Amino acid sequence: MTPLFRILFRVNMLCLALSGVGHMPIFKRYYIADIPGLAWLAKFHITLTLHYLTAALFLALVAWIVTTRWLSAPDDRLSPVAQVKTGLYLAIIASGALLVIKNLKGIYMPPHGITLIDLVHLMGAFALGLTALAARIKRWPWITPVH
Amino acid sequence: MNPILSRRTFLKRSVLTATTAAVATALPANAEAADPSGYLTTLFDLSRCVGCGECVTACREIHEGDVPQPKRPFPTMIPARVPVEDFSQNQEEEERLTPYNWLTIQEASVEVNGEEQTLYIPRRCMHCINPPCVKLCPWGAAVQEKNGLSRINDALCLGGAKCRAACPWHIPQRQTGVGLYLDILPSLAGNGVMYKCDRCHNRLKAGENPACIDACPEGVQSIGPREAMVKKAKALATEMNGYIYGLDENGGTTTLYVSPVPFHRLNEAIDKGPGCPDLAPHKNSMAMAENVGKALLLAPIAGMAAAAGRIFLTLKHASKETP
Repeated sequence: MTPLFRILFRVNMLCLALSGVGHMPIFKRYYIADIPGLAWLAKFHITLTLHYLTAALFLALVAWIVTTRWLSAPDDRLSPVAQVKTGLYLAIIASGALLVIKNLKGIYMPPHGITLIDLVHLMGAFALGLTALAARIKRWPWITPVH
Repeated sequence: MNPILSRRTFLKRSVLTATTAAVATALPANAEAADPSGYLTTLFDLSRCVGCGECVTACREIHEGDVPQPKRPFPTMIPARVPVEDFSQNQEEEERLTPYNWLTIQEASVEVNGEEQTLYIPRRCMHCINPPCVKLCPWGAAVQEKNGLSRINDALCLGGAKCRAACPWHIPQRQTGVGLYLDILPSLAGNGVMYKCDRCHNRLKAGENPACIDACPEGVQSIGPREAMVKKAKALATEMNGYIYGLDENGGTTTLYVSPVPFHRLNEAIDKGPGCPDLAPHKNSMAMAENVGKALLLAPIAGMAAAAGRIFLTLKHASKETP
């Protein structure tokens, strides 16, 4: 992963997280949308659009990483924390895909199913954020060499 | 890249990757389950409405047990600017939509064929084909049923009012001091429950009509699958040389109005504001999610193809250099 790719991935993740949290009506309530330049965080259709666009870039970047790793068969393996993060990414991607499908016209999903998907998406994102923070502080690597 | 990866291994894995991508794209396409042309739709013939209010009374009676019973005192809201919305002291209000009044009648005094005439317009949730209140609710508290109607689950709603902001007509109304938020973080998150017309979903399940339809002495409303109701609305509009509202508003709704007067004139004549929805044209607020959503599901394929292409070119370049 090149430094440019890493920066692009992290900036995109920040935008994805911000627009995702913006789905909840809290930025206006807690004055964050009052900060000059952040009023858009309280506008649901803007945060939804940004979330979709950044999600598209995120999926393309993840697909790039996975495909590259899969096809180049490296002599290493994912560290335990990377395996946890990968599991969380999968849960977030799967629940996100279902939410995108739900938002299409003419789609029926059972109400309890939608609530469950919403919670998996939200809690998965929070758990991923905490795991990434812990990995950063503890300097846990993504990959470890095979002995 | 691992130099021992052979071209054969690369090709095998490429085929597997492409198959995974194809399956991932095909699965969501099979998830569509509902046909909007069959969504249950109500048609209002505004030339028949006399504004008697029987529909409003029937609605209030049938939903007597569904309206909020707030607990007092209300939690202290943090921050203090979070508004308390309390209609419990004015439950008899019928001039606007409230948590206690899910159907209201608007009046429009307009000129019809050279004569001053008052038209009455019963207003409640439009039950959009792709309802933003349902699709944008962060908790799944607003739901759309298989027959197309949308309703709010008062046991789950936290009263954030995002549904009201997302609705082009700002239909749902909030009552503070009731609902799930009282059991979680009452001062810090949530602010009550949102209420709106649920098209008498329990009556529909029992094979009955919504109460407002059965109560109308003038036969203003009819109900049926959207395709049939659209056909009926167009025939009625042709017959009275009139106009239709709801065909395309917000991407199409399952409430249709037919009027002898253009809707922009009715919109100018009615009272508008909180609880009093307009009759303006509204673009599909879910258009982005409908259009970009399909494209978004293809994004991983672009990433896979780009990575596979890059590796293929690298391998090709390496094989040329190998003597």
